Amino acid sequence: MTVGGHLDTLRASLPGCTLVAYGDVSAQLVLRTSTDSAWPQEKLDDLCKSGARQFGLVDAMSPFRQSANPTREAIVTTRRDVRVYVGAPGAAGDVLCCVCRSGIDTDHVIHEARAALSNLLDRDQ
Amino acid sequence: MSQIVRLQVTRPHTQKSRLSDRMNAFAGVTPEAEGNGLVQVLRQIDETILPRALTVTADTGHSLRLLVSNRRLMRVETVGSNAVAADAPSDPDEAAAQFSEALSAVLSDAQSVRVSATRYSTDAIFWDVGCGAGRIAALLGLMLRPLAPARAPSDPEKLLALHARARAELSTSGQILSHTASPEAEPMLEALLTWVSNHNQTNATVSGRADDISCIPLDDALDAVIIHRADGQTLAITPSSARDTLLSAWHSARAAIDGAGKGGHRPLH
Repeated sequence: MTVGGHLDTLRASLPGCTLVAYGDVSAQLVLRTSTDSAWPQEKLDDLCKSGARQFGLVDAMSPFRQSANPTREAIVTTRRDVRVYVGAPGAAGDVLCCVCRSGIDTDHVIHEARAALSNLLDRDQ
Repeated sequence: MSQIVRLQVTRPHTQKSRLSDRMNAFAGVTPEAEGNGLVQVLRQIDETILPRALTVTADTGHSLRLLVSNRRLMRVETVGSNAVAADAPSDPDEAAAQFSEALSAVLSDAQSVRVSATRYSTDAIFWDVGCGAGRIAALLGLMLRPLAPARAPSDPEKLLALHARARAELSTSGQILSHTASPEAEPMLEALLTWVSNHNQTNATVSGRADDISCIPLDDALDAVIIHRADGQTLAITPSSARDTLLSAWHSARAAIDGAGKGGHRPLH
């Protein structure tokens, strides 16, 4: 399956999800998106910058994160939406960001995004 | 997760009426409507924050499926041979009129109503608009009051105060205004405070950061939470189980404030 196919599948599995972006937070670059409406590039850039900032906080809290899941997760709620970031373990910058409407089950989104990120990373190897 | 609520409603036959009769007859509050099945269903809508499909079955055999989220009714589907589905129109007044008619048609003749609530299935869709239970109740001339006096607070700050294992209030300049923590959560809050201090994450210095919440899942089913506000920040360690309720309450509160600022409708209560 293509990268776009993985993103489309993930978005379809998440009710209320309006955008799934695959990017690199270390480069602060969105590589591919799945969405039903066009997002301006500056908004995608902001999404990546916000992800990089959140993962800085995740790393700062790492002594309290010894979970079996090595991925890094962060949730940001803005006035307009809820953004769930799931990043590759360690220093790798790969990240999936799911932008959803309010009222989502965040644990479900994290679970689905983890599986999709794993598939994407396996595909690259 | 599934929740079943059985509601027994008894009304004299003479009180049965159609929507048009109700709209003409009820210019104001009707105290006797407190025992009405419509009121019970509307209250259920008003108390539902997370996305839920409510299946309402009347003893007349009629059934409705309601999609509800953020205390708003998003979709009504009648079930059976004459099944009809209606999404919320973009105009909230139209939505209220349409939904109130659909609810009234099924529930006005019911002696008892059964409501079951389940999570949305993955084929369900969210809609932006919908309408609140208060608007429908007003259209039907019904009074909507919470049954239980002790409801969980919907104010996100109160929710945070209720659930937090550790909590600190910061001013816009980063000064700690208050600080409470249980012994096990204290180190996590300290780490959070250190990070915020090192990154100068105050609203005064970080443009565009006002009014959002960051949640970082930690071990032991806890989250590190930062609420950014125009007048400062709240840092907290909270149970992950409270996360979605907190985020939804914050969103609802923001929507209410934004709506009030635009001359919109006040939240029900």
